[in-house]
Amino acid sequence: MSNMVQIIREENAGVLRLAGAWEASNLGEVERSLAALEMPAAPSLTLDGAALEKLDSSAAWLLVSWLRRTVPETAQVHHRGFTDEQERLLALVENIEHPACPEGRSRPGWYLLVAEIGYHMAELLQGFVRMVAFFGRFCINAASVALRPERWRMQSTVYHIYRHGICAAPIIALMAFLMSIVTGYQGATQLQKFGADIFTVDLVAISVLREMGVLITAIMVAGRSGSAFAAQIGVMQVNEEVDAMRSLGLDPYELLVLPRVLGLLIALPLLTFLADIVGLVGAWFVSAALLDISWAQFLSRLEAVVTPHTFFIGLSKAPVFGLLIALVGCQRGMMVRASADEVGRQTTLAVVQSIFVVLVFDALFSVFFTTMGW
Amino acid sequence: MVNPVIEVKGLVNQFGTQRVHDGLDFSVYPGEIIGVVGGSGSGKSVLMRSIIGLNTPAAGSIHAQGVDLLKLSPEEWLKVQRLWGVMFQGGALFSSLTVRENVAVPLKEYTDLTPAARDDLAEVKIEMVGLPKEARHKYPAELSGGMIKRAALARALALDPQLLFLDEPTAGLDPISASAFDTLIRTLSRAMNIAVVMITHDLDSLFTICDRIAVLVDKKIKIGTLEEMLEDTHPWIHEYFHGARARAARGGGNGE
Repeated sequence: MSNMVQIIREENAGVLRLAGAWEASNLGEVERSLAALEMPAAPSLTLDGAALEKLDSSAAWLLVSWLRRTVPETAQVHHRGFTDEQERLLALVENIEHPACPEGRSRPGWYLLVAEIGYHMAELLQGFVRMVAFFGRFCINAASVALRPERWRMQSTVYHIYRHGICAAPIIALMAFLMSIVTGYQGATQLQKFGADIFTVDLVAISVLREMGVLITAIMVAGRSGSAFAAQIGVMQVNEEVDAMRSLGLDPYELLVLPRVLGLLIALPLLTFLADIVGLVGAWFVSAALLDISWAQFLSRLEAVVTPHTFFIGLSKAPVFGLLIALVGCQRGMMVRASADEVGRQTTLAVVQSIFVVLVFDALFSVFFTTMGW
Repeated sequence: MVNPVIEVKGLVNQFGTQRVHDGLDFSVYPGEIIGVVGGSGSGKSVLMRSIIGLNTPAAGSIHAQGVDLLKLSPEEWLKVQRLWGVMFQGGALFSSLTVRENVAVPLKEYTDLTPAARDDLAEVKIEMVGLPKEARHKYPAELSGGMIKRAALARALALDPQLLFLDEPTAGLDPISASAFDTLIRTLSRAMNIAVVMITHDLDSLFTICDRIAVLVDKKIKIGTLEEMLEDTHPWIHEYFHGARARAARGGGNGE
């Protein structure tokens, strides 16, 4: 192993003898030895490198910058005993200006806090504007393509329906089933206290059909497909594939965004339908297991409380949610600018924002439906 | 005789049934610049990856500092690894870090410097490779191709390696930047006594800054000075050094 770094001072003549291996693995030690050294007050200083085993550019820089900091400019510094190679190295680093010009912009804490809040608010506003612009662009695009069937990307659209609809079916069915069991279980234990067991069917059926089915599906799809859209398009941005499309005269919105949006627009209602059915099966399962309600009883109760419009109210929200999730995902993907870090950031934002937007719209729908008395 | 920085003996690389290298022998000596050339698929990058440990060769030995790298335990490997710096073709800068943070990564990992001294040293390296001061707080995505190469070089140099691997350092640079980069490599190699192994297709680099040239051909390596290569009778090597492009590059070199 390399020897200890040493700096030996010869008092009388202002000579510093450097010893040991001044290299990358010992840099910390070099720094500390230099810091601990008292500056000799001699008018001239001689550096003796005869005992140096090694000197690399980093250590040479530490030495040179220490000299600049501590030795008065008038003092003369002599070298002796350095090899030619080490002399060249010292000459190299001596040519480098001292970069340590601190940024010197230490602001007070409250300033940074205000700046941070302002920055985020501005970004939020910008994000909203961009989203609206993106939606506008999508509408124009969709309208122009709709009129020309030869430009419909059927294959791509069908692929996305398969990938983000059919492939998601098992997990969504499972989620819907579990969700309605949880609701049913909670509802049944409370309603039993009043002897109103049968109302469990009302509770689960209505909540699944109106809210839960579509919401669970949308949240799952946002996590599953919204993130996928953002990441796919984002990586394509990083690889300049999107630019390549533009250069070939292809419109990336038409090629990438439209099929994805259309795909989810179709897939999400289908998945919601599945979630509704499986949710109802879950409702019956919990009623049968917990409340001894027979299949016939369950069905007749269901017929009594659930009207088609309960079902359609829930289902009508699905295409809107699908549109929102796909738009947010694609927009986030398009916003990626040439770095892997950005892909991760935008993908996260895509999921968070699409779930947020879905819940906001769900609230708006609730108010709207209630006002309309549906 | 000076000890080689690295000595490769009987290196064999094989992927499935396809043999890429069949017994390569060569050494790299301190302070020299070796240009590695070879056709596409001749295994230039595989050779580099074998030496720096990203690819395990099927047979052979690679000696550095008196030990066989292929027989080292992972802990010992970490120590030897600091011997070299690598500059990948696309720069491979960490995209979530600024230039200065990128250069400081090895310093942070392997030294116990104070943060101030670390940043200071990182900036010295940035200065050494000729990057403008404004560049140090920029992210890789905000840099031009030439600046990315320089920043990658600064990171490779962070720990003062004895051996520097450069994968196509001048690819994608305009001729002026490329020749400036060549000069930079030459200067740093001379000043810091670094051996450089550069994979390159830039004939100007080969003719102007390389001390020796290694040609990967027929799964073997041929290594020699430019003059030796010019006189070689192997058809591929002859074509390479006497083709129209080579003549043009050489003609320009002689004219200076």
